[in-house]
Amino acid sequence: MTSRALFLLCALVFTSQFTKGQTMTSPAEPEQRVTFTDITDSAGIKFRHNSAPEKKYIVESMSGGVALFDYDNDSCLDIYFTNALTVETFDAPQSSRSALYHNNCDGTFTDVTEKSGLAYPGWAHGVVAADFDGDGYEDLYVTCLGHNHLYHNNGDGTFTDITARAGVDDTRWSTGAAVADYDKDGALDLFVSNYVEIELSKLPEFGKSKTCQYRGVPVQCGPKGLPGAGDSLFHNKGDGTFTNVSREAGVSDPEGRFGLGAVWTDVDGDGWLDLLVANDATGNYLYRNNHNGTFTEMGLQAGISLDEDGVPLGSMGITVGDYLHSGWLGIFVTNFSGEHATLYRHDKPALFTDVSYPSRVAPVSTPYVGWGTGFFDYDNDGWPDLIAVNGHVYPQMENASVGTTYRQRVLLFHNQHDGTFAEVAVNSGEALVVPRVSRGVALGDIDNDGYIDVLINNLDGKPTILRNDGASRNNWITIKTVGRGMNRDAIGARVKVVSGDLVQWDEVHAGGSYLSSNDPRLHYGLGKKYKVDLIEIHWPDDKVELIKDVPANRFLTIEEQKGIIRTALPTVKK
Amino acid sequence: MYKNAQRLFEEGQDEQAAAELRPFLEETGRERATLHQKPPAEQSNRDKELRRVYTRLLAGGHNFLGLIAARHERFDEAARQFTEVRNLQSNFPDVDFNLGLALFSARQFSEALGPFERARQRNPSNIKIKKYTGLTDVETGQYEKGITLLENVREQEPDDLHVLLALGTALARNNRLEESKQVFEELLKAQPESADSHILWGQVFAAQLQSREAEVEFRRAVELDPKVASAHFFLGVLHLKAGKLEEAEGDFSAELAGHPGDASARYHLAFAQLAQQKTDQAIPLLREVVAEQPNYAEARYSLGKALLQQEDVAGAIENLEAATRLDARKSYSHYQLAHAYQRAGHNEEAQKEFKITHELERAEKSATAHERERIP
Repeated sequence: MTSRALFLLCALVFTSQFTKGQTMTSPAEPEQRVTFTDITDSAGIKFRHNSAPEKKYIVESMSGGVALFDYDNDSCLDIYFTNALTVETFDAPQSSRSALYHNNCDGTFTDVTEKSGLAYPGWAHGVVAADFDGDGYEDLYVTCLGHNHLYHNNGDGTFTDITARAGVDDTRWSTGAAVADYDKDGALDLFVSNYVEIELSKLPEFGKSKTCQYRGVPVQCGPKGLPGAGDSLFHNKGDGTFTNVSREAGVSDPEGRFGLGAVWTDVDGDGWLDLLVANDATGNYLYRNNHNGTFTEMGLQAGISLDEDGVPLGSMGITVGDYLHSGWLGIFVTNFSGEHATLYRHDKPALFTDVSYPSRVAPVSTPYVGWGTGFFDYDNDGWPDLIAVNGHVYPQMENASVGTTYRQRVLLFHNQHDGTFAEVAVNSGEALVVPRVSRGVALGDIDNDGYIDVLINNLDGKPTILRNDGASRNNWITIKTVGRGMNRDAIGARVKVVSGDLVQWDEVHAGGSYLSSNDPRLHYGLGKKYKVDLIEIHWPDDKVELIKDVPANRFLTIEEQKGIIRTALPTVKK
Repeated sequence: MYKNAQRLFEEGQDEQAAAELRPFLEETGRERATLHQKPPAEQSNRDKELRRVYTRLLAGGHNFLGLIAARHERFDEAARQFTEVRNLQSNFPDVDFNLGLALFSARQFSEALGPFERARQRNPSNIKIKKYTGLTDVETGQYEKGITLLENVREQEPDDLHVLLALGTALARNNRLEESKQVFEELLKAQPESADSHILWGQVFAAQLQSREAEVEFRRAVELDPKVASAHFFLGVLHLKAGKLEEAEGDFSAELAGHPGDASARYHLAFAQLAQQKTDQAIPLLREVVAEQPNYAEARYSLGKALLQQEDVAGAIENLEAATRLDARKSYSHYQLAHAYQRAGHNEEAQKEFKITHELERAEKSATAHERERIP
């Protein structure tokens, strides 16, 4: 290059950095690799999940949800872990204690379960946090084998079980739960997926029939060979009570597929929330919202029910994310071993293509039984990455030499910005490669440092808290949406964040992953960009609000029609 | 000419026999067609008799060509000739068995079942027919029926290695593990060491889902005889099942290098390439397989799927329609066809195929837990 050309280029760069309205970028620095550290013990988490060691019955293999939510509005995320009984201890519900941990906002947590009244929901599986009555405090819904529970947050650190009064019980084997205002009446409704119909007094005998063998090894029976349980949709009447409208709405699952993870999302951009349900060993459901209180199931037609070869997979967890920056949220589903995790690219309204192989998530995930999952931009480069936590259902796999193992590590997929992902767990901290038997995962910024952390509930024993060290030093913005009326969380709001050439969409969810509930705040990595040019919020009541020119690295609280009502800086400055 | 061809065939001079037969069959075919064109009212008794003679001669000729092709391991060609024989004269001696055997040898197991069953109905006590029907049952996943037939065969032919291998496999798949173990032990005792015996042992381990042990055996077979048939093929299948796609591709390529006529290895190579998104490389291979074996349902399916990925919707529909015709029980063919119709804007046909997919999927719900089916 001639010296003249070099001079012109320098001038151009100089000019662009100081042109009004342009997004500034920091000078190029070598990007550090983000790592995760297991801080479970130092954070003071003593919770232990119960499980029968041999897992002779399928009911002993599926529990382990986790919720990240701020129950006391101190802006620090608290944790709720569900816990399970066993066939042996079923008659002694107090032998298994679920747990609520209060975040002390200093890197430690305090067990406040006893005071909260959340200790003994029974044989608990999943959990979702949402402010059902719009009083400004997050409530909890816990799914169980047996009675489910809606716990009303009293605002003073205690909760009251209002299940019966609210009319949201489901006595079957409930698993996933997801919350949204599907009919735009302003009140949050509740979907509950159920797994199989099972009677503890008539459990199928371990290893005895064709459906109780895996690769020639005798194992627990099911779900194939067992009758599936239907699902429930509870419509919120806005007066503290709900009506079960599953059948009228067309989401009751009369076929009895084996329902697990569920998430509400708008798959066709019509502003009405549709529903995705991950079904184990049977096709997944996509219920498209007909705008009149009913839904049409169109998973097959939309291309998300089966894999690209038309095979139903053992689907467990489910998540959605704008991983291509197309504005259309793709779907990622975790599946059983011998299959592979599936990534569905969102091509057109309600039309997806299975891109598990082209995106490279398929081959590496084949030996794993995947559960909790989520799109999250762990290195804040502006592109949503993916996590899947794993662990087999059969302890008998540990020494069986059949190409899979019982304890399995985490899979962390880094978004390569071209539709493909690189699996990078081995380079992202030793804590990620420790084999565990994981189930639920919840994602959220527990230390408010602007980097998303990971909480895992493991089936056998202690959970795992993985702190993100934020080494990439990229910028970010976190948005808490506050809606009008009873949907205070603005669940279902779609938010576009524009920063120079980065255009990212996300949606406010309650429930997803595997039986878990993430930090409800929306988090956007910004790479080296120092500011956000535009925040465009499509509120659940269809109003659109624009906010311009916001500096990066802030926690924003945006209330509908009021704009930014609170700005907070990170607790730990990177 | 016919008699001469028969003599040459019996003397093992196959090329000459085939050379004699082809013009004879062409000529006879023309004569027969001419008779066919006459309106029935104008056909004399002599014409009818002549037609019968021509038909018998044509059937016999095609049967010779089928036998010649089978003798040279050109099983697809053999199957085509025997199909011709059956179309001409359905009661031609042994035609169903020969057709079944040709299809079986070409690894078209689903297609072989029908001919073997017909042969068994005609001759229920024939041990050879029973054996191959049982072997085919095992290959197509009908383990219980296969076990019944093969146990019966084993009583009369206790040392038949193929029978023991298939029986052991079927018992293992049917969770009769102790019985399976006994059969395999018996099988292994009877085998001296050779490349073939290691392939057999490898299959035994693979049947018991002991992949590591199976791999050791197949590798040992290659060490003993680098050109041994099927060792690389089975290694490829093991790698495919473990999701090691590049290794699988290498294995199937190696098998094909040693045995260029192996259509199944060619299909599997294409399958491994498709899984790695090497669609451009896979499509020509699949076209070759389909040209050689137009009734290979799996190859039709894979070709259709690959063409759909390349936006050749018409080509995809043609092959996927063929795949669903050839094997209507496979939900994935219907599913892919539904998407092809959807892409072409044929919404009514698409809905019909989605409905079939859904019905087949529901029927699958009671199958064995968590076993993926699509790996060939």
